[in-house]
Amino acid sequence: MLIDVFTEFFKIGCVAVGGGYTVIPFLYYLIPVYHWYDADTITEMIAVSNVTPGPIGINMATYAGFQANGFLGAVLATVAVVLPSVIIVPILSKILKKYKNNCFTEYVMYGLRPAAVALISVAAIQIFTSTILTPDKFANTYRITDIISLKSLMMLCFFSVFGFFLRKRPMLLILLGAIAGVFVYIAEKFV
Amino acid sequence: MTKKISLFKLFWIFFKIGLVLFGGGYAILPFLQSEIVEKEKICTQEQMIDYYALAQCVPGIVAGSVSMFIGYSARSILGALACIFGMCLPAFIAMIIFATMLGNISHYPIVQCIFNEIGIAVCVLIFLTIAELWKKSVHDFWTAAIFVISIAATLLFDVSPFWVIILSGIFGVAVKILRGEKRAD
Repeated sequence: MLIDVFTEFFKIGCVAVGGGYTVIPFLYYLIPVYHWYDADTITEMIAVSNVTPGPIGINMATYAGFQANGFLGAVLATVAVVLPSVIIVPILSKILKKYKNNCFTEYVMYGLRPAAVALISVAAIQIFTSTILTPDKFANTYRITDIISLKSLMMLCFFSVFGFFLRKRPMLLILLGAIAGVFVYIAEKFV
Repeated sequence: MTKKISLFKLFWIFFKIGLVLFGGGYAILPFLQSEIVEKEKICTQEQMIDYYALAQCVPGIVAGSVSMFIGYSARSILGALACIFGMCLPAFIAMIIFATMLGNISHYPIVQCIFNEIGIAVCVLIFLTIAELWKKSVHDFWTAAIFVISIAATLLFDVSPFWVIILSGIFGVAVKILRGEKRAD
């Protein structure tokens, strides 16, 4: 049983290239094989992972491992899911160090950097649409004012101003976000 | 450029980052920029972008791989282990607490409110970081072309980040060789 948890999550760690959400289809695949959890648990797992600190992929491995075999299962699943990268990253780093001053490496990086920034921009656009904009509402009414709620717009302005001053202290901005969330909750409930 | 940093310090930095990390791998960048590049000066901004790009292509969690690349560059294999341990520990502890005690907290309205506002804060941080990274990576016609094509490929045609990174690496080499650039040495 424990060895199954380890091997299955090691396999997931090997094929989940690109992180977090790529783990999900493999978690579904495990349901009929082991009955560690059901499809509803996965939905719950994703929801909890989203509101818990840490990389989502790690969150999900820990949770799934716990469902499968308690605390020991959680430890094994977490270790197993990162193990492939623990093996590969140092090897790649060593190669990179060896050829650091090779002009070929420099050419590859010349192409990689704008692509990496592009990927980050795509992620930024996606979370902007999902957390701040309300495209579904806009699609129903086609009123331009429905694309963003007044509350989100105010919060966006608030965080942009604070973000600009706190850009050297991003951790403080996250804390500020949590505090703002409590105030919004109180405001919505009692005002 | 680089200075010797203790293994515990590395662990502690990534433990702190792990505590405030909400969202996918991209969310780690604002914290790396402030803690690793600016404050501790463990690696340069270019290195950080390179590691992020490479992390897209190796198996495993992106945030974990990026932290190991940084850990390895600072303190070799033990550094990499200290970083990944620090990165995973908050996530692990949080999930154990939720799995054993709290259950599904995402149903509570207050948690949803807090997470919504943190989401907006993360979004603002990412845009500020992009503005910062832009200068070092998009600086001529060809890099601008790679940037635009990569965005279009992922956003419109759903190409996986893996192929975006591999192909732009090849593209970068092709451009440099075709333009006949050779270094003096």
